[in-house]
Amino acid sequence: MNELSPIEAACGGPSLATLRRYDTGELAPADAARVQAHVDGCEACQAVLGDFSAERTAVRLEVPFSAIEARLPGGRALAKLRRFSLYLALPLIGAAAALFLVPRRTTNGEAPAIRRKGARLDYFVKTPAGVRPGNQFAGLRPGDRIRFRYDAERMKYVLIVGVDPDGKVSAYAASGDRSMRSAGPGLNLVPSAVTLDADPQPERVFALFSNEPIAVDEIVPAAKDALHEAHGDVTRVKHLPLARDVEQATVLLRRAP
Amino acid sequence: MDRQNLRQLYERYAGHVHGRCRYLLKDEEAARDAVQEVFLKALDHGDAFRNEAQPSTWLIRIATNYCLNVLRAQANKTRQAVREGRLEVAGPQALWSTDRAERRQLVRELLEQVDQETAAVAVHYFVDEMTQEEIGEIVGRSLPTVRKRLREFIDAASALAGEPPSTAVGR
Ligand SMILES: [Zn+2]
Repeated sequence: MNELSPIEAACGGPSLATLRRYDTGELAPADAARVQAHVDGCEACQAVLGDFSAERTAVRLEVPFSAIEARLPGGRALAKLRRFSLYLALPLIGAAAALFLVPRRTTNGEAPAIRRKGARLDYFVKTPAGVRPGNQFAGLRPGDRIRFRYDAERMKYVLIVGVDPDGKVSAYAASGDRSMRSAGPGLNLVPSAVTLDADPQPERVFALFSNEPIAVDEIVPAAKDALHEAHGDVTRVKHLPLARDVEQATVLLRRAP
Repeated sequence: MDRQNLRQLYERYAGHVHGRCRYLLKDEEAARDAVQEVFLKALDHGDAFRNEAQPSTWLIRIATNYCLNVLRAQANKTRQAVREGRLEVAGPQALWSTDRAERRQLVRELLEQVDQETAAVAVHYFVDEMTQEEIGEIVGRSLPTVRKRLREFIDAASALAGEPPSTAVGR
């Protein structure tokens, strides 16, 4: 063994650095074609490219660009961002959630919805004492069951998501990982109820109304940005910075002291 | 470089930077922070970047240096582990293993034994599989210096494995 002989993979193919340049499209066409020809027949190099792809997915979820953007000069002085994750609450609660009856009408003035352009969101709470309309000032307790109600105005789709102070986004009304079709004009209850866990953190819930479905994972960076604007205080997040034409309504879920 | 450029850069290269940071730092949380730091540094050197023919190599160098700097601040755990018999390190010949994963792992265990420049050269050589010429170019050192660093690294491997330093130093 020559002590300083070049390093090679078992396949004798391109170096890892070259595979990286191939992966990012930096190679000249002739070089890229050569690498491609090798990779097509080489499992070891295919595995390397698979790792690259996995890292790309991981970084998109774990370190969204908004985390960097928030730290750019000229932005706010920002605390380091924590990881935020995305999970869909709906599949977890869907089957187990028993529907419950709610009053047909709520008393005026008690509706906790913050109205924006006519679209609205509110909710009902079922406790051992019965069902009552949701209210910002009467806190919620672990085990309470929440059911959202919305009015989509004339919009076709609705997506209801919650954002907690860690930037975690949960879907409460969705179709798979996107908006669901609105049930029609007027006030509509979402199909299933959510049971509150013991987490004492407040949660900001948005109903997003649109004419094209929105993917839940589009919401995650917007939620993060909004949280930053509000210095991490979900109670002050009133609006999600979404690019397209989306109407929004929001309520705050607060645990009882 | 403006935000839009940085975003494009990020979308294309963040995965590679993340992979390098996870490998060197062995800590998910620290790796996530490091990815942010690396891209903020890239922004600082935006003008240098614009003329870069190999952006991936350039970013990987920044990521490698950044993480080695973080590592240097940590205690040397590898030597301790070897001393206590919790870790057995192969001799330097294993650095030429044709198995990428094996080579990568051994290099990682040795990095904390050497100074930062030596560690960077070793990572580019044994992990990135770059040639000595390519390494000299990206770290801004002459070829003899690159060789010297590689020999230092190999000697560190011998020492950790309990072998005498190699006398048959190649050229
Ligand atoms: Zn190969």
